[in-house]
Amino acid sequence: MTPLCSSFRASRLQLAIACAALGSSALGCSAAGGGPETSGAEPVAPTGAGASGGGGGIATGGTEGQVPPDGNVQQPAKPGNATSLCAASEPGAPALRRLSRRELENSLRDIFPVLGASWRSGLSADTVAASGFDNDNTQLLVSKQTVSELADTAEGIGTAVAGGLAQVLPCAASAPDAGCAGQFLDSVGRRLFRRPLSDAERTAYLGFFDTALTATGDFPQAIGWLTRGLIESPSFVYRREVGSASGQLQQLDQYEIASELAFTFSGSGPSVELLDQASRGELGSPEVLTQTARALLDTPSGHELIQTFFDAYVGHSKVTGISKAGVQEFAGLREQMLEETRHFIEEVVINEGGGPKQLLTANITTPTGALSTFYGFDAPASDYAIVERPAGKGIGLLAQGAVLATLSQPNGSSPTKRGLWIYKRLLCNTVPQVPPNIPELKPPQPGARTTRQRYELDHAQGSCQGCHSQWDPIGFGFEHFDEAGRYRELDGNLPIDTASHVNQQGVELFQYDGEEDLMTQLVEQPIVSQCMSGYLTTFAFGEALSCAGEGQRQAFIQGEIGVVDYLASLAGEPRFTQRVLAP
Amino acid sequence: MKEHTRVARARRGIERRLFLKAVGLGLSAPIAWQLCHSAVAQAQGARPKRLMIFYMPHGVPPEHFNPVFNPATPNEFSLNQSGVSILGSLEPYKQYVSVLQGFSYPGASTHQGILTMLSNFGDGRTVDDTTPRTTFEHVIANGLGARPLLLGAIPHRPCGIDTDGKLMWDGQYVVPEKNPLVAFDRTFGATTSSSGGAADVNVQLRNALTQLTEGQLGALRSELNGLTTAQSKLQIHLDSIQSLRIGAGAGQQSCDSVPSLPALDLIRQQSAGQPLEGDPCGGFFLDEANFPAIVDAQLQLAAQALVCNATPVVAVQMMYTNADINFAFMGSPGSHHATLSHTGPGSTGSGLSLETRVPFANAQKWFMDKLVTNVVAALNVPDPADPGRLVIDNTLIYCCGEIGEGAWHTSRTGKINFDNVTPPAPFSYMPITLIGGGGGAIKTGQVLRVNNDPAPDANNAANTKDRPAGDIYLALSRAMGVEVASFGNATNTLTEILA
Repeated sequence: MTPLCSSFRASRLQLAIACAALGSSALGCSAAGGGPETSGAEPVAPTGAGASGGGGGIATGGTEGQVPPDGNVQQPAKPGNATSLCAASEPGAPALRRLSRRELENSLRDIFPVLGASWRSGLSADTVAASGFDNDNTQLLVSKQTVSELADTAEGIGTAVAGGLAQVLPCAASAPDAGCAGQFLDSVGRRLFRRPLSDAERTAYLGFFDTALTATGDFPQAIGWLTRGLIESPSFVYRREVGSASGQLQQLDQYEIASELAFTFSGSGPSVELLDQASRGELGSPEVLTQTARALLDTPSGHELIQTFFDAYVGHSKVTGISKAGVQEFAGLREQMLEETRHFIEEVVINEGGGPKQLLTANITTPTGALSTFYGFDAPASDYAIVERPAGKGIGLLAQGAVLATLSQPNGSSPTKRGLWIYKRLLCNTVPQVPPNIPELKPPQPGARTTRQRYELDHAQGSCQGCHSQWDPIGFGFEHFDEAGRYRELDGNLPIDTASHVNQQGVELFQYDGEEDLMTQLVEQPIVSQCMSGYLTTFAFGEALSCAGEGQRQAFIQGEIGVVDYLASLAGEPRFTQRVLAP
Repeated sequence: MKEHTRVARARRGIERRLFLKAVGLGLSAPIAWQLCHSAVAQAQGARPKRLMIFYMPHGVPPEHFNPVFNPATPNEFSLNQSGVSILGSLEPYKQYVSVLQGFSYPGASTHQGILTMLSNFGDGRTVDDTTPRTTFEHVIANGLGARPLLLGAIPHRPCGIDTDGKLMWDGQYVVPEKNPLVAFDRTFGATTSSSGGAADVNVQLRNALTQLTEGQLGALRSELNGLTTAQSKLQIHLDSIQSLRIGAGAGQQSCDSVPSLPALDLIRQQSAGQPLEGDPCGGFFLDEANFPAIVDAQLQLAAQALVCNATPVVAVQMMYTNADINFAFMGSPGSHHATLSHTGPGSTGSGLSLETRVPFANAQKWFMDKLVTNVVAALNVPDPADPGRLVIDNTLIYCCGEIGEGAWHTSRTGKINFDNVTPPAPFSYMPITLIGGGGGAIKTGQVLRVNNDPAPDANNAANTKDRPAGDIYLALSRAMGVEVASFGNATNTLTEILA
């Protein structure tokens, strides 16, 4: 299937050419990952980690090598630019996905709720892919460290299970025997493997249970060891999306679909009820799958999953780990800022079903009383209740204190960080590699020059201008917000100029004055919704694929459906249930 | 000093652990026991050797870093100089110090050198954060059959690992432990259960469980035959399990007890009840407000692990590259990367004065002072495993950073036009400092310059007369008793630092 719109691939090329033509070549483009004024963390548009090679020695991306079936076959959705539009969606490639740390921990918490805080996860953070998400299929491997940390985690749970076995396995009190161990496999084992165990697996794990019982002479301890074995099993650690041959396609089985639904839309393994539905073969039509996805997104776990997407997409959670040298109150408010943004997302995206337009232009926020005082807003009826933002003091997600403070320096605002975020995350541009020999960016000079003047002067030096001219002008629109996210009338004692413009592919999209005007005009650009939908599919499918989420994409771009409905619609895509083996 | 009760590290205990390890390898009990006696006897005849990697990000201002010396007498040098003297606190330990100049990393002349510096792996052009590699500390640890202690004070951004944090690799990238309390328990607490019948049962069942998992992996591989990506993943998984079976042994700890570590106690108090890392993606150990306290705790733990021989290999990562932690806490306000490291010297260096980069120099000196106070001084004590010598006599500390010149992002030696700096410091080198006697295998107390090119080109890897840092790693590997053929393209052991 040929992408209808390859404009963004072209735009990157054009930008690179433009950059070179502007004399920056490899030198002046301060960008993500290293310049003195960059966010550093986020590589750019969801271009598909697979395209960049590597992958720990494994083939990257979703295409699997396999003997091709006879006849003409469809091609699987390819690793690539998830922002491109396609005429129709395509099936995926078979995959074996290692669960992310979040998915592993959520699963264990859901399967062993009675254990509470009696165990602690020893799992390290996962690698963040080029997309900015930490659930990328190509990056998640079981390294030596993973094996060790998983074993530690499993030991903690195994010990907790042994210590509180009566709650986990009632038959342990009345009939602590092999039959009871079998019941454990049928209940807990089924949850961990997300399917019933095969006969061979039952035999193997019961054999291990016998070994443990003989060695320890203690039934609870033996069940503890059995628990550890199940948790360390590849059947728990990996999600299978392989299916079996059905014509020219591979059709995922019911349990594979149940797992995919649960992890994609609730961030955890399937519930007993969902497994039961799978056992009855009820996870069939796209309509049923979409309804199930919507129901999962409506649960607390689903809400948390949506917050997880925005955490990674925006990065506002980082606010709780930063400090602001000149704003004493900030340390006591940063946790509240994070909660404010979570409540804002909950209200606009989840409760109101909003999409990009509502998210970026909503004229509300959800502060605490202390935050409203800090911002200079009217106090809410209660902490995190909705208040209307005062006119002229910002709108939407990007006016949130947590976002503005994160996209700032410790001692000043940052037009570069703020502009760069939009340049990458809303306009889906790629940022060039940081060059060596970056000229100095002068420290803030309150009263002498505004931040904008300083950036304009310093980034006009040498080879900086070629790239910074792409995103700094976008960031100038936020200059009425200081490094802690507060509205300010003046920068020091100097007036603030927020009149600027937005370029795309070297062409001016529009001129604006101030954050509200910037946001209002930005959301009218189709690329913004198109770009966000690419990030949503990348997050949902755990890798950047082209042509994977087209069914409801135009509806999303047109503003007919919001973030939650678009996410749920992905369950009805061919990619969700079908796989194609690469020829 | 308050004493924690810890297990005695007696000869019998050492033999027992080695025995359990051998059983883990699948050897029969009598053979395993025989091997253990042999290993202990060998260990008793050799001097203990310890290695520590100390990573400090964002380069240095060379006018405040380079030692003062006459190239004709490289053994006579001063670490105190007219600038801030980043290495100044090492002056009392100068007989243990070697400053190495004229080496290069295969970085891409940016902070992404963090990906390549300890493995000497990379082509100097592309940013590759996925291809498997093994970094120096793991080469040594694996060679010694030991598990290294890997610590990181805010070593990556909240919410996950990106390119800027990936310093250490053992095939795949390895995340250093952020929480020194967890690391302490793992380092000193694990051996408390290594005696008695329960330990034997644990080893037996651990091995049975590993066999079971290997069997399940094998079955899955058969089932997915032909799916190449899945096969590769499962092979990495299998290799990981098998390598841990081999390397599961604890060190031969030589302390009868572990003293209380004040910085660790402070962290314990401060972090009590606080959300830890991953909650949701920040937490105490990724909060920059806690950075100074975390640094102290990790360095004290590192030193204690070395003193007690809890592991022969320790690595400590100070922050990630591009970290914008505010260094106001030590008197240099501003973010470490954006503000401090990029202050001066402009694009040419012309007009720079010695005062220009004092805040940045002080920040880098803060790191070195922390290393000296918490580690070097702590190693300057009798070696419990080698009576008559000091721990520092039997230790190697490799101090390094991913770039040379802080503002210019150099990955190799460069010439800088610091015309207003007195005394002149015209060259910028990768900041490499060796501390410690390395068990007698290292020649210490010198400034070793291997590139005397009067006009080095920092911007062109093809023109450099530097030697690859891998040459140093080859020499240090030999000093540690681990022979390695190459690190990346480096095959020429730096014998000049070997005793």
